[in-house]
Order: sequence, then structure tokens, then C-alpha cells
Amino acid sequence: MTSKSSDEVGPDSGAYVLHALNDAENARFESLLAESEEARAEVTELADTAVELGLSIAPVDPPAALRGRILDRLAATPQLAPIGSTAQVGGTRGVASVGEAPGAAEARARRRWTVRPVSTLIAVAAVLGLIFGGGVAVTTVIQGQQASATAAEIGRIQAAADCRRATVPVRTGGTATLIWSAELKRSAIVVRGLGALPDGKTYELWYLDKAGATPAGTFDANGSTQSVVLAGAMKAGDNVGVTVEPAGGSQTPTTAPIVVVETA
Amino acid sequence: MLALVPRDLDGVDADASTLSNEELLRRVATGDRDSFAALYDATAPRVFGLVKRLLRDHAQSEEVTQEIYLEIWQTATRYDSDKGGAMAWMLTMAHRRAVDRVRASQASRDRDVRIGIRDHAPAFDSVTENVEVLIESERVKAAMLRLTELQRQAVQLAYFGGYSHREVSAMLSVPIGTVKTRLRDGMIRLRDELGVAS
Repeated sequence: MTSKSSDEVGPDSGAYVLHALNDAENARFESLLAESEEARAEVTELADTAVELGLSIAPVDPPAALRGRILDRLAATPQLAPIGSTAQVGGTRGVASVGEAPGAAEARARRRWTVRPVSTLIAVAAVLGLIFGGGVAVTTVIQGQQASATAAEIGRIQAAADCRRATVPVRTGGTATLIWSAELKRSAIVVRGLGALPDGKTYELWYLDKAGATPAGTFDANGSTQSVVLAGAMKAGDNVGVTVEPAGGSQTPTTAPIVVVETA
Repeated sequence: MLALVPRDLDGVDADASTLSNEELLRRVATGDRDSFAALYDATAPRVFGLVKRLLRDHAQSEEVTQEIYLEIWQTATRYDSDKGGAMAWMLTMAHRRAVDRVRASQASRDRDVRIGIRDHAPAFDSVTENVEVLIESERVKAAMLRLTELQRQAVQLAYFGGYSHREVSAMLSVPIGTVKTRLRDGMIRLRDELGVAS
């Protein structure tokens, strides 16, 4: 056959570049990518091959109104701080990540990060897939069933004179809009298009500050639009993150955040 | 005419519509909204065509296209042109986003079925949809036709249908391990046929 069936790369490279693996296999394959030069080389080429398939599809003009809708949202969509050597593989940037020596650009980015250490830490964790930690306290878990209470609380936050909101794309698909009031010390998150997680997993919310992450409740998603009020008090300057955790939630994040909403 | 050349070459005054996608993306990374609009104009039909191929549904395709462009805006700072072209970067992101949405819709559809709300059966027509209809490019079409039947079906379902290996396995009635092997062998064959090299 055409495949040399290298033991080192294993069978998952094709499914990986076609986005056909499940989350666990994806994570496993990405750790292989971090270690194996051969796997990285193969994935780079196969990802470029997948792009050829994409380019073979007839272009379709999107509705004219879409352009305006997107441009209107730019102002409310913060751009991520640059990271010099995210060192991602071929066409799979944003999915794969492998270690690489820090370059000048990263040093530049580091300097920038010292201004906003929290978002820095998160950005690094998000990109390098590192686990981040910090001392945290137990807080209440708010479940989605409390729909009317949630709606009432969101109404209260939105009615606050200093209510602000920010919408950010979620790394794994969908968007997250944070609505918060510093005066009320309360916030709520509206997620849109977040996929359902396998059994035994849950989304967990965190308030993020320089000291680390404080749990702020868990929720499940099903791809539709959902609102969740965060548990606990929001301190001035707190950012909000979401991670995927074992069912019931964790005291400390055990995975890299899928989204971080910066409030600064 | 000639007098215009130096202006274009210095890059500062060049009309955004004449810039490469890579250059536009570099400018987007600095928060340049005009370059973002130019990049959108240059690439949106490709991105929307891909998304619509996977999702079929027009409204969802619009939503996902919007998500993709906001992610492009947000993460342009992380784009590295040394590692590949802008279009490749964007189409890869677009495919991942579209697949995520297919999975999410699939998850809610499964749930609906479980609680007794009968939804129309998922359109498996992409199984039967042949390469002729699916693929515009003659070169890619020819390469696809060099694959074995099983390789071609698996690659088609995964890339153009957004199906997971588990779904492909169920649809083609072959074990998941076989699907993975066919996907890898199929993509390697395509790579060789298309002359893709890193």
C-alpha cells in the first residue's frame, strides 16, 4: 500500500487532519505530535492535502448582510496577544501544539504579558496545552435547571449601570458572551454552539486572577444557546475562563481553557 | 503607470485589494479592520462554500462563518506565514469549526430522538453523492478517483460530510480501526497524487 504504516505515527494521522477523531484520541495524538518529528511531518503534509480538498469545493457567495454583521462585531472582539513560537504544525494551527525554543517574538510577547500576567498565563496554557493551577476554594455549583432564577439574575446584571459584555470565540467551537457588573460583583455567561461533552465530563467556569483560578460553577451544553450565572463574587479585574473537567467539576483546572473572556 | 509602482511596493499605500492574503492577515493582526474587510472579501466565498458543504443548513452556515471570521480576527496575531499560507490556515480553521457544529447538531438530534421527538433521518446522501458532483477541481477529482472505493468513501464522509470515524464506521459497516487506516492511506495517496510536500 502507499502507507508505510510507520509504527511511530500510528493510524490516527488521517483521521486527525480530517477532524474525525474523538476528543480523547485527539488529545492523545497531539501528545504524540509533541514528541514525534515524523508524526509532525506527516500531519503537516496531510493537513495541506486536506486543504486541497477544501479548495476543490465550489465557492459560494455568502449573503451580503453577513459581511456587515461580522465587521460590526470586531470592536467587541478582543484580539489575542501574539505568541511568538506557538510552533503549531502545518495546516493544523490552532489544533496541534508542540514545544519550541522561545524566539524573539515570544520574548516580545513576554514583555507584553508582564502587563497582564493573568491573561498571559491563560494564553500560554491555552496555546501550549499546559495545565494551570492555583489555590482555590469550593463554591456553589449552579445548574442549568434554575432557568427562571438565571433569567432574573441576568436581568439584574444587565440592568446595572456598569453592565458590560464581551463575546469571544470558543476554541472548540461556538462563542461565549460574558455579561458582568463590577458593582454587583456578578457575571453570567451566554454560550452558543458549545458541543455536548461525553459522559463523565462537564464544562466548568472559573474566575481567574493573578493567584490562580476560583471555581464558579459547572454546566453542560448541547450546541444550542445557554445562559449560566457564575457562582461566587467577581473581583475587580477577574477574567473568566471555561475548562472541560470530570463530572462534578474540579477544585483546580485540570485542562487548558477552551475560552477566556478578558474583562480588562 | 510606472510612477505608481514604488507606492505599491512600499506596501503602505497599496490598495488592500492588491495585497496577498498573508499580508492582509499580518495587518489584521495589528487590528487593521480595513485589511480584515479586504481579507473577508477575498476569502469568504471559499470559507462559506466549505461550511455550507458540511452543514447544508443556510442559517447555521452563516452563523458558523461568522464564528470563523471572528476567530480569524481574534487569532490573526498567532498566524505564522512561515508555516503555511493564509488560505490553508483559514480553511483548516473553517473545517474544524464546521465539524464542531455538525457534531453539536448531531448531539442535540440524538437527544431529541432519545426523548421521542422524531427528527428527519440525517441526510446520508453524501455517501452516494459521487466525486463528480462533490468536487469542482479536475485535479483533485482525478486524484480522488485513484483511491480505493473504501478509502474514497471514508475520506469523502469525513472531510465533506464532517462525520466522525465512529459514524463513518457505522455508515460503511467496517470497524473503526479499518476506517482510521483507510483515512490515513487515502490521505497519503491523495498527498502523493496531488504532489503535496512540506
